[in-house]
Amino acid sequence: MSSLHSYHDLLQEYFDEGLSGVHEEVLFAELGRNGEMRREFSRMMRMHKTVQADAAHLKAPAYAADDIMRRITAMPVPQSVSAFIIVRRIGAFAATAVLAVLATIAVVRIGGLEHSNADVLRPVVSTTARPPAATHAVEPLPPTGIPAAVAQPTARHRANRTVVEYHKSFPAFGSEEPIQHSTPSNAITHASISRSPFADQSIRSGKIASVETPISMGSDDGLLRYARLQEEEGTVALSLRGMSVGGAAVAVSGQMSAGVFYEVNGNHAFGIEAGQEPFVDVSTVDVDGEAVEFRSTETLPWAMAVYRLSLPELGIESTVYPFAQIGAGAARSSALGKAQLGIVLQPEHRVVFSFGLESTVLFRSQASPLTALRWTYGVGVKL
Amino acid sequence: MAAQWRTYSDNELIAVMRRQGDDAQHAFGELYTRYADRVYAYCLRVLGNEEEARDVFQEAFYRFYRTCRTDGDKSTAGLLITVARNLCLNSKRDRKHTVPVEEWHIVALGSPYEQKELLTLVSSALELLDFPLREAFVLRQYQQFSYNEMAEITGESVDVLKNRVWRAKEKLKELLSPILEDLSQL
Repeated sequence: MSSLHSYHDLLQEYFDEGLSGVHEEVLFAELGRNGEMRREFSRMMRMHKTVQADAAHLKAPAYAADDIMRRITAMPVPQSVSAFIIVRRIGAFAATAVLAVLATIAVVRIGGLEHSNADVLRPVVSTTARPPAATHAVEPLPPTGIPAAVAQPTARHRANRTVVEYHKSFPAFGSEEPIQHSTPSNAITHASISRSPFADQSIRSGKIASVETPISMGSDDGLLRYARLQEEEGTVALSLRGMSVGGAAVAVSGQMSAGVFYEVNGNHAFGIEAGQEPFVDVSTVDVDGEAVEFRSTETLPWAMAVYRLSLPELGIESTVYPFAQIGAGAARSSALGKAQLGIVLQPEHRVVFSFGLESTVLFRSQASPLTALRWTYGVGVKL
Repeated sequence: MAAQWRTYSDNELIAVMRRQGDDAQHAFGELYTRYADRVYAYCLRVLGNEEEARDVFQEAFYRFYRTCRTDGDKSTAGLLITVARNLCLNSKRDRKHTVPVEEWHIVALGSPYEQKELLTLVSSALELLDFPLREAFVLRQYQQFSYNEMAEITGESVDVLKNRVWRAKEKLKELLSPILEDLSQL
């Protein structure tokens, strides 16, 4: 260190970000030798401490909090929030139905209807009109008087058709039924749960199983969930992050979906699907050294884009054939993925029944993914 | 229930606020408790006027509640200070209030100085600094932000901010030199 200016720099650094061991030694060696540097050090130390003391004693005015809260409570709810509340009130089912109708209209208007009408009419026209000979060679027409659908089985899988479908599902392979809560809907923020289903299905622990009713669950904030278990000696509160409390609507309409598909050809179809379904969340909480398994159900509305591969060529006379389907979308703010394998029964060209096994993964931002395995069945109409 | 919110991280509290439920205000209250003093200290020391500082401080928290947003990796303190900073800049633009150095010296000099008085004088001396220097000094010395955080808040480079803090200290030391000298000799 060769100049006073450099020592001055070291002093500044010392009071700002601190010095490394070597530089600190250099500085303090100089302070031991140089009286002017010691006075400078003293002045800076005084200023430094004064600023720290000033920062420590500055407190926000007590009344400011009240003023802010008054403004907040008087704040009008933004329109987007209002819309959200309306959706919550009318229920996810109604919202899903609206979505499905809108999606149907959109797909049909885009062009599916024109194609499908033409396809439906074509066999009828073919039976009455005499086609050119060249067309005969490529696609022989059925004899007059024989229904086109019978004479031409592949007509069931004609391309460019719009299919509207409705599905229900139920747990597969021992997946537990969602817990039935005594709450009217997801919209409520605090739910009381009757002891029996909760204790039997939700908590498995000697300690907790003996708990007296009432047991209450809460989702005060929509994020933190807790269960409060009334015990003889007091209340045990379990804080469970990332869990959710579902509603009673779970069993009635909780596992359904509606979709609109556009068949590109007999094998490939793309579509959009929306629905709602419950996800059973299992968490283990340590209570006084005992692991308590806690189950809760979250019913989520969802929407996704879907691709379906149908394989009528592997089926029985194109009436019963396998299909596979994958989809990706969102459930509220979480990503959702689905995969399905199943069988289609198509007794005639307009109606489709399906039955399959569906796997669902819900990716959550603050918790591990939820998975579900369900049987699913549905009916579809080809427009 | 108040104790429960203390276990939440800032981002979790902001997520609760976003849901606009009954607990949004509780979550906001917890964030307010955590950061009110820091934000107020920033407003007061940057603006140098209690009334303005209080108004800006309240507006900052109100806007934070209304938007309840997060901003990438920026900390909640950084986010709040950014909101407050923008309001401070607006407020500063609306007024042209300066204290001449000469006038300040008349007030500051010529009497024995206690630590308490020094506090007052430091805050007054801060007002004599140009806004960029004052702000950099407050962010660094009062708010204890790192230079990287300061760069995110102000949009300036780390080197520029280091230089500003340096110059602010030098200026303050120059202004307070007679007083600091006296106190050093006590």
